[in-house]
Amino acid sequence: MYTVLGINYRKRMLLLFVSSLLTCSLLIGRLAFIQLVRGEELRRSALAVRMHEIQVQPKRGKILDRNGQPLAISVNVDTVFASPFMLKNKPATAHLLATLLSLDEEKLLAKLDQNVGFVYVKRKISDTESKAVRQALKDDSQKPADQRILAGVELTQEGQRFYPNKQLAASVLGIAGIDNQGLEGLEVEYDEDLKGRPGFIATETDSRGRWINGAAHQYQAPEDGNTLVTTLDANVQLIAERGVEQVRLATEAKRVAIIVEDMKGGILAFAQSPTFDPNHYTDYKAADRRPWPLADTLYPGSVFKMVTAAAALNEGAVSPADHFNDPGFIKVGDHTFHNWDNYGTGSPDLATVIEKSSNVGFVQIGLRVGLDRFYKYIDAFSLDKPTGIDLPGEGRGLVPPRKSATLVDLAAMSFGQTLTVTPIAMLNAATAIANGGELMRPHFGMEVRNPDGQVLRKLEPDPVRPVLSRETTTTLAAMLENVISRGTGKMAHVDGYRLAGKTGTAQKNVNGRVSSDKHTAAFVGFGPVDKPQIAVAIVIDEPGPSVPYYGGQIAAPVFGVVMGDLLRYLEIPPTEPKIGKPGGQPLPVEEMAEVPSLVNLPVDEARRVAVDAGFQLRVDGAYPVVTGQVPPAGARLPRGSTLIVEATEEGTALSGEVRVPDLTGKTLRESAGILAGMNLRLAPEGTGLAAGQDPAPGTLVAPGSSVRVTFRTPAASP
Amino acid sequence: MRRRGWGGLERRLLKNLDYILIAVTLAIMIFGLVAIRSATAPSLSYVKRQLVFTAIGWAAAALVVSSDYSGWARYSRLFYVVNLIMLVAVRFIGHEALGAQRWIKIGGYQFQPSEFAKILVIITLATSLSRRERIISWGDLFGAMAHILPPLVLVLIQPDLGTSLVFVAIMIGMMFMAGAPVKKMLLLFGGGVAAAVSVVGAQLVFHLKDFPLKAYQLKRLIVLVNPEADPTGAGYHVLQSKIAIGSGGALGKGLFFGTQTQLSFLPERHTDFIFSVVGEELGFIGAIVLLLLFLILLIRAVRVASESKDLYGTLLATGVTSMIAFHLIINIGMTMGIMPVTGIPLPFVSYSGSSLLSNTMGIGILLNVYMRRQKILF
Repeated sequence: MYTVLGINYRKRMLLLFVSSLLTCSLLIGRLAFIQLVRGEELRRSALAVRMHEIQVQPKRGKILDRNGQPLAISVNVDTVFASPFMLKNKPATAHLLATLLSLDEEKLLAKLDQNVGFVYVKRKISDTESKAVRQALKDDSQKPADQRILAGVELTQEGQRFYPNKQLAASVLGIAGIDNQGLEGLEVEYDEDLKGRPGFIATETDSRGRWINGAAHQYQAPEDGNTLVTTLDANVQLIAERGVEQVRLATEAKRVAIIVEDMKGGILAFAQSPTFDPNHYTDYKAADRRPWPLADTLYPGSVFKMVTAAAALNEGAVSPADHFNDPGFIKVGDHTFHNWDNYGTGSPDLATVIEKSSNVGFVQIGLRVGLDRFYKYIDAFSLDKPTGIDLPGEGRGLVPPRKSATLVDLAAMSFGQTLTVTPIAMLNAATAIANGGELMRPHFGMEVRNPDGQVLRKLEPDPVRPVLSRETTTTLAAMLENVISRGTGKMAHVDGYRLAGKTGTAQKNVNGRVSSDKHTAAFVGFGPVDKPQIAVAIVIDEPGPSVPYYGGQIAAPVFGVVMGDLLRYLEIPPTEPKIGKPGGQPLPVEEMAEVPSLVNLPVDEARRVAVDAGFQLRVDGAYPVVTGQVPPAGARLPRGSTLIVEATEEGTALSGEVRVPDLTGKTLRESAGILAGMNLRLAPEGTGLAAGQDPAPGTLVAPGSSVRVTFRTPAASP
Repeated sequence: MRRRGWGGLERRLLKNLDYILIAVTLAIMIFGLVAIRSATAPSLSYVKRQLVFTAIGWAAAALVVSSDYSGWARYSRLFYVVNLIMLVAVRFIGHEALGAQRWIKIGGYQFQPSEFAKILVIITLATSLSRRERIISWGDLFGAMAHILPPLVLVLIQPDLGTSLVFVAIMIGMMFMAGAPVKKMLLLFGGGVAAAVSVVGAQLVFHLKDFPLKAYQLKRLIVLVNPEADPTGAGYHVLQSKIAIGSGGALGKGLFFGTQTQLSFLPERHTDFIFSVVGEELGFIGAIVLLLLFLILLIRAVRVASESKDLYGTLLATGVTSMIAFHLIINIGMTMGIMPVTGIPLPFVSYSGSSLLSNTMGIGILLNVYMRRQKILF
């Protein structure tokens, strides 16, 4: 080793050596990290890089009423998409598609000019558009390759949410968006169940998207969404909706709601007016779509007295024999409370206080209960918190905080002022009084079924807590029955039945002030008294200035009418002799009709049959023959409802077999057309109209089979 | 007369050849040929051309070995001028590709002067440094810098940032071995790095376009920090490369079975990203073997520097070592996402005739210095 000027070269060599070593160690360390630590993850990325995926959308699950009638279903509609890189003459393509699909040509061209592999041209197109596009694609495919302008344009099927009963229970069902995602209502609450899982077709491609020979293909079938069976009863809902619609017209109210609950918390009907058609939800204001009877809080007014009375009886604060002093007003602290009519009721007992809805009496009852016990019952009935109902957006009642509540507050709350509750919470409290004292969680969901109809999950009734003793509820029910038989709720009477309920009228709070001309009229009741089956709440919010606004005058009669219809519909037999009292006039019943059988009919004929039977028809698919229908033949629906029929090749190709159509009465030409459309062959015999066939209509046969059809001239037959 | 052996060399000197260095270099070259064969399958033309250049490379190395390095100092000035002429020529008769003017076409082959510039700079700088009595003052340091500046600038404006940085690496290594004071070097290059960082920082802060770094270069720096920032653009290479290497796992997917490689997801796979091919198809084991071969090569090269009989030999060997080491860390680091994407090849492995030629000539320099390590005592 040489040295120059005493510089230690050995040291510097060593450093050079060490840095070489470090360089390699650094690279080896990084290599180990990437290959050994992150190897698995990066292997997956490598696969993902090569797999070219096409999503296959699942069908969103149905929502049914408790009897299996469809409330929301999904139908397949066509969606047009394009692979821009395959298009040879984009302006021509854009022009043709824009014409067929009524799109803006320039915008479409801009879309097609993008450097991407996939663009939607138009999603969820109408039947007419679908037919036009199919025809255009067919015509185009017959042109020579260099003149084709639609090579690269394709149709795929996407599920479209369809609400066959239009506005029926719309605010409960909610809406689902274009990608089948729940946006409002049960659609979002049960989205996990309903949405299903998309499948995909994946093919391995190289970096330019070309298919590789012998490459991996994966097909993951989509899992269709599960079916939600609700506690709703479409017929009860229909009765309730007719009720709200008529009442709103008659009272010129801002909004009206009727809710029907069974004794286990199941909601049979949840009707509100105004409402909307979820099939065209964008045409409506968001406010009309809100389920306000569970979202908004209102002053309950005298309806709340049933809660005060229940607390007083259950706590023994008053006994049915107690009498009260009612001169028509009462002073608490420096505040004087009046009866609604300013008249005194003398020296009434508890039953009379309830029957006459005496505010003065209830102030005294409330004071006897005292603040602590009063709040205990507000809490026990869950009136100041959400009930936990399975629908998004529930509000909670506003009650003055216990700590700052005064006796004046207590006095006012005793007859339903000062505090607010949601209509659903109020009805649910009444249900607890009706069912013997147990508070239930109100709910819409009943069970979840898989697409094949097997029950996956039962949503059992959910008792929250016992609130009242049976003795209390029996005593109170009898007193509430008096309200209808001879008190403020006379107009709620239904001939032949013993019903219980309470009227209510509250002045509204507008911008923090009690309004003198805006009211909420209500009636909450249940029946039959000896064995209650349903509880019903009616809320008429802001009736017009020219109509009376007392609950006893406008809400009670609606209760009578609706309850009458419901008792008849539910086939609950009358127990009392008819006494011809007013109330309970049945509304004109909408005409019901039986759904005809449409499967296997050519689409045009199916439409005619449906219209003849009083229905509208919606065709799902472009196949010439009906392959399925909803609801099934024999179901009863209101006239004018829409039936949905499926006319898809999948419907037939599922089992690899086709169903032989009924050709009776068809000409030779028609028969040949129908059979050809189903990939069947015609083996004709004779002339005239089809009179017999083999195999028989409805038989499943392999595609391509022959159907022997005997034709006869009508005149020639004996 | 001494008996002369092959190529006019004395037999005694041939015995002193570093056969391990030759074997290791050959092994790395074979790695490269196999990887290129797989990366460019089914075409055979790349691997054939690379073979031709391997042969030419060794012939050139033999030529380098045959003349005693001690005599090179005499031609240093000539080499320096030739170097500058070559680099200036590429600006006028150069062939532009991929947005840079780096190549001169000779016959069917493209020739990249900047590759040879590295070898010439090693020789001329070694001469210049060894002629100074000592490298101690600031003046000495700046003198060395002034020496490499003209070729560096000519390469930088091609533009070829990567190769011009190689000059800096060569210079730092040689300066250090020439005995430059460590403190001054740290101050100089630490200051340089700090200045570069602040200039780039200023560019980011003031959103300057294309100055001082071109927009694409800036992007490459950004994706180094966060490759997901632009996964289909500037980050694409690195992301695909990391996926390729990572998905190779311990044992690799086998030659010709690397999906990233064979399906063209990996860009520049036979040139700058050849290491990713090795990583994907031969796995951790294969990549480690290649890295260990490089390590042996570097250790042998350091050994050559330390065994040299004079400072000139040490400096020549150090220059070659620095060049190869710098290429190694920048290129392989880039494929694994720890270095920015600068298009510099992996020595002996990447498909590139010029690179192969110049690196093999570098090996020739090492062999030359090592062979003549013993002072002739007679």
